[in-house]
Amino acid sequence: MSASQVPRPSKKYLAMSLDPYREMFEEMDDMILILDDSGMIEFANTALRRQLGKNRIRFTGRNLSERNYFDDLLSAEELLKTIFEEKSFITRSKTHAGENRHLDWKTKVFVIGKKKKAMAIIRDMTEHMDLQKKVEDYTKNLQEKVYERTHELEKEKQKAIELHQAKALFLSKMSHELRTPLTAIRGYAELLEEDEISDADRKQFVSVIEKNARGLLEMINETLNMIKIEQDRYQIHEKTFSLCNLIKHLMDTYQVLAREKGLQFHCQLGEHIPENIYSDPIAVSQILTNLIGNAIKFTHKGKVSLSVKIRRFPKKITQKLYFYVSDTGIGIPSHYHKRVFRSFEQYLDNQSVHERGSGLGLAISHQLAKLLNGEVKLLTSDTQKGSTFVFSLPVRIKSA
Amino acid sequence: MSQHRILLIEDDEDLATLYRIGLEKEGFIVYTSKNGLQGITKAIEKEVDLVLLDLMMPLADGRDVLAMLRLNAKSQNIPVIIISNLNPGTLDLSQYDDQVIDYWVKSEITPKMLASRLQSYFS
Repeated sequence: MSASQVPRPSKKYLAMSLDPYREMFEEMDDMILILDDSGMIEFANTALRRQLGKNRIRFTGRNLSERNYFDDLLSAEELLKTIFEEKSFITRSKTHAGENRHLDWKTKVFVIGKKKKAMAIIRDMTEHMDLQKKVEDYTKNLQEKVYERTHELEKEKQKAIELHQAKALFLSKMSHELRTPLTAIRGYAELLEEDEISDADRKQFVSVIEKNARGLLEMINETLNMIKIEQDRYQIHEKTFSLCNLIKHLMDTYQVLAREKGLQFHCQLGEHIPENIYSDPIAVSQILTNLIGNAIKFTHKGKVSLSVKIRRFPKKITQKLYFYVSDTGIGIPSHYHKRVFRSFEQYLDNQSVHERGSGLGLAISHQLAKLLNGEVKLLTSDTQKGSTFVFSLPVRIKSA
Repeated sequence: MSQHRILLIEDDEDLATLYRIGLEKEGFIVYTSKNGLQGITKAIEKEVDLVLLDLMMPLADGRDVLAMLRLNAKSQNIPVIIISNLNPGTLDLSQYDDQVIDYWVKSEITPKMLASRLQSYFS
């Protein structure tokens, strides 16, 4: 018997012969859909019916064009066309509970008899895509955080480098500033050994030695104070003392220095300035010495002034004193204002390297004022007009 | 006794007086300037044999002075000895090696030592 003589199986037989496979398809987790090119659904497995929430509905015999169960963006026609193009694609559908699910379609077209049919294997990718999105978001977030942190670290690194440079410059300057008075002391001591010097010269040489020794001592004390303050070891000793005597002493000292430079030095006391106050006289004196000393150092013509005012709070024991130190000196460039109270960072600006002294005066004043619960601030500064600093100090007013 | 002419460019008055007295005792003729700008003019006017140059000065520091000395034909060949309390090497002066003949740290020399070293140099 030839192949053409073999009887063809009937449709019923063919349908029945699919039965073992039908069971297999029904058991699969993936969704299976078989339909013809008119959109008539020939088979939809349990997984698919469950996905659509239509367990009890028979899909077989229904047409896709009746209702697009699968995508709220594509029309039924577009979906059918895409299925028969044998592409892989993703649809978005709502479950019976109203959840959006992303379905990944893999389709295969085949011909049975003269009819074109397509089989689609559909997988729910929603969790996978959610996870993918979460991973992408997390990665993006992580990248942003890494970028921010890298940027912060770069800034901190730069700051650390600058601070290191400033400290190196500071040490270089300090060694210069310590050696200079020692040079004068040694040199003038050698001159004093000579027999043939006049009394006037001898007196002058001794005066120079004394001046440089005092300057050296001040510098060493400043440096040690700064170290103590930075290590939180500086101790405040409060007691009642005469504010007026302290101011008078400062005036006497600095009038001489000002006159030597051809400067005027004025002091003005406001109304109700108390005779005596309760605070640390050494710290207060140190702060004012630094402020006035700096003002005179950096002023080459004009004047320096100290003005003292009080702000009284009725019924309170604590009052606030304000000491304004103004000068007509070289001023401080504006880009430098924020650094002026920092101990090492001022050395980032090479200009300060050329000035005599440790350069720690303002940093020390700033820190000491804080220890006294007060404040030292740069009120104004202009390279054409000079500067004004203010030292504010809460004090208890006590009679002697 | 030496009659060499020395220009001392030093902004610290005490140190300038110290070195002037010490060197004049040993027969040097000493001119002083408080700053570099004044110093350049004096170096040329007084036809000095050597410049003792401080480095840390306001306005024009030692490097600026060296640069200016080099610009003028009358001053570019005057030998310079740096005398400073900065550690050698703090400032890069290598480009002036042809003019700077030595670097002395102030705190290590007294006026007598300074005079003695200069006498050795000139002899």
